[in-house]
Amino acid sequence: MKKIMLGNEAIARGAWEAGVNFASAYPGTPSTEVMENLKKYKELYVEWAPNEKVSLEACLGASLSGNRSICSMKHVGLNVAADVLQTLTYTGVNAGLVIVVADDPGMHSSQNEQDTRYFAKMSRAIVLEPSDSQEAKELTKWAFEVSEETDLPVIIRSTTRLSHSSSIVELQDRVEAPKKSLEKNPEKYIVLPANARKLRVNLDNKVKKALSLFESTSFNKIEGDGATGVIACGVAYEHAREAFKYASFLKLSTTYPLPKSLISEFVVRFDRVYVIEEPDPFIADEIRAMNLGVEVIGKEVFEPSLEMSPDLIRKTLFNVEAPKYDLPVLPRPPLLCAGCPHRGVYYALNQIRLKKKDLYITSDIGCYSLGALKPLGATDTTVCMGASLGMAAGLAQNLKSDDGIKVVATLGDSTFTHSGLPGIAELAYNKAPVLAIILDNRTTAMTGHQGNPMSGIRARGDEVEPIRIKKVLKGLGINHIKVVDPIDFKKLQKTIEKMLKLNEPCVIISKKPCVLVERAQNVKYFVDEEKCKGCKVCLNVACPAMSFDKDAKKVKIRADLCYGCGLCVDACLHSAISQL
Amino acid sequence: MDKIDFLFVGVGGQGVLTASRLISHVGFKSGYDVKLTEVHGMAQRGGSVESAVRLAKKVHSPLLSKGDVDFLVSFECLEAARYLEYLKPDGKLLVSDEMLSPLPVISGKAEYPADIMDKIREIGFDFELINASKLAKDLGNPKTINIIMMGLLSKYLDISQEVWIESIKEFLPEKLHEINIKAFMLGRQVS
Repeated sequence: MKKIMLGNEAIARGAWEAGVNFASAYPGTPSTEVMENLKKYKELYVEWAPNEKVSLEACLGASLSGNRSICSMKHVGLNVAADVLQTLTYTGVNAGLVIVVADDPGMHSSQNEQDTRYFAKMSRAIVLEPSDSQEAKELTKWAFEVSEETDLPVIIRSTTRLSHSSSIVELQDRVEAPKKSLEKNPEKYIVLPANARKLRVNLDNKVKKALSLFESTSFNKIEGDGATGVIACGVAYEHAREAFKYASFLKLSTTYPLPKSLISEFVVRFDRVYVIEEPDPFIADEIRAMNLGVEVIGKEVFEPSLEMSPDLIRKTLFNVEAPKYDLPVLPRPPLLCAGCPHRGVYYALNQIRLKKKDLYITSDIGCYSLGALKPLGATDTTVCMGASLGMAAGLAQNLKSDDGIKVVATLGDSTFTHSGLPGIAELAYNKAPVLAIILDNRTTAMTGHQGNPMSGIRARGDEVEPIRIKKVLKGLGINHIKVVDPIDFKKLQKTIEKMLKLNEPCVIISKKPCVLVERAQNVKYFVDEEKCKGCKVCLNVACPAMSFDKDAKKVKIRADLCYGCGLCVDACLHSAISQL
Repeated sequence: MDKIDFLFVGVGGQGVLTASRLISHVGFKSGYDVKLTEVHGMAQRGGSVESAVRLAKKVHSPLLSKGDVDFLVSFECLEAARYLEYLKPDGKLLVSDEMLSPLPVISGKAEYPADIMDKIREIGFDFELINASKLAKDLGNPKTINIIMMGLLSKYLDISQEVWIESIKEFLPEKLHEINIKAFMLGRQVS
């Protein structure tokens, strides 16, 4: 049977067909749907872990128990899990262990563009790179065998355009993997230096074994007989097939370790080869280091920050430009939804900052990163998961004075459990005068509303006792904690102002479910045209339901878009907004 | 046709992905190779949303090439202008007359270019602009704009009505079949 499948869905299908028993992940665009699709299969255990490091550790545990395991994460998630990965290659695995890492060239939904293959090279983990959904399924299936054969973890390296493209997949049945017995092997799994030295020697042998598999696998293939030599991998291979009309292709599916004999056999046929890959010239640099006497043109000639595409190849290599029209197109950046409970927090901070100009606001990764956009503009930094707290601590220690708190950190509930706990410990232990605002919307919203330990909703939808955030904060040594409903804007603003007068670590929990999960209030608001002076001050809340009617010189609220949060009522200076 | 490229654009929440997934399914059932791209995460929060569908005997890249797209289907006027450079000169532009304010308009910093469709006409593109939001409202479900637009699109494709109706039934949840088949037929009959 054939079916159209999203790349991530095909990866999940491949794992299922390979008889995977255990899956753990932390959501992150563009990787999230791997787990969302694994959840659809009943034969395996699935979970959302608090972060990527824990999910990879859980997979190693599952592997030791004798079960095949898979975890998935976005590229920056591997930074969090890197500590595990760097030693996991030493210890190796019992049952097959596959790590799906989705890179985001062009940064559609990410803070950077790191290339996972460098991590793989550093740790000597195997990397397989599929180019479409069918291959995503096939390579994931094979990855479990390769992992078991080489005693190494295998990374399925995806990119946004593989993970989030759909194409046709031929489905097969699940084959249960032969059950392995629980492995206890101190020399392999206790990496004290004496053991680690032996494991390090063996690591090179394991990579050699992988290499011998990859030199002969049919997943790497030479196609065509054109005069131009092109080497490509991942979805970039598909772009190359389209942009280079008359070429010979070496399609690589195994990118660490690279099958160097196969590569040199191909490369020496040409005076020059093009290597089409993203985001970095990883393969190109490896080929250059082989000194084959052939010119290698790689990613370095392309404009950085743009994802690979047939258009980009044509423009960069063949000078073919696309048409352009001069139209008055306004930008349409993403923004907080109408009725979003985060809006009140950033509007309050924005208002407070009008008076307290030296207030510094660190923020974090999630929907609420959008609180940084003007006119809200109530954010000075977002760097990585959990950074709001650590950075706030450093800022506060250096900006200390007697006139109260100068640094506010904002982060969401899921980010808090992911990597905020050590940050809170830092604030409490080192007495950093910081106001942390935890935006508790009871879900991991940006990635599609996954449950987390703070909501207590688990991967299959069952519920457990959620983490009591107030108790956790108390336990960590925070003495000033307030819980506020952000829909009550006046109370929220007052609470923030009050807390800022303290000169020690304190936390506000802004608690309200995401408007896409649970609507705050079933009311709508309208503007009384008699009272509206057209001053546009209310537009500073940046609500998608509001706009300025230039003919009437009044603000309008579209009833079909209003979610009834009522923040505009607080923002209006002329009491012109009321309930419909 | 050798290949048919579609680009569906709109604003997060307008059902762009449902539309592109539906046409992929229709193409698949009609024997084409299919590739589709979609956007997730940050880009979906009220931002500009695009989804490409490519049908051919064999599709390589899931990405479209500028100036080479056969059908640009926009659920919003400003978005039609944003992605116009993808449409080939003799391609077909289908637009729902919805105008949704982007951030610069919401925050009072700019005005929505209300004459945007006239400007597109001046460039020389042939388009069909329909009042899909009113049609959807009259039908009793404002969320059916996307399927009304699919009905409109279907007029230009050599794919039988039965395949479309079957695809809607296979693709959408059962309780939405009746309203969406009505929406599809409504779009198909717009003149």
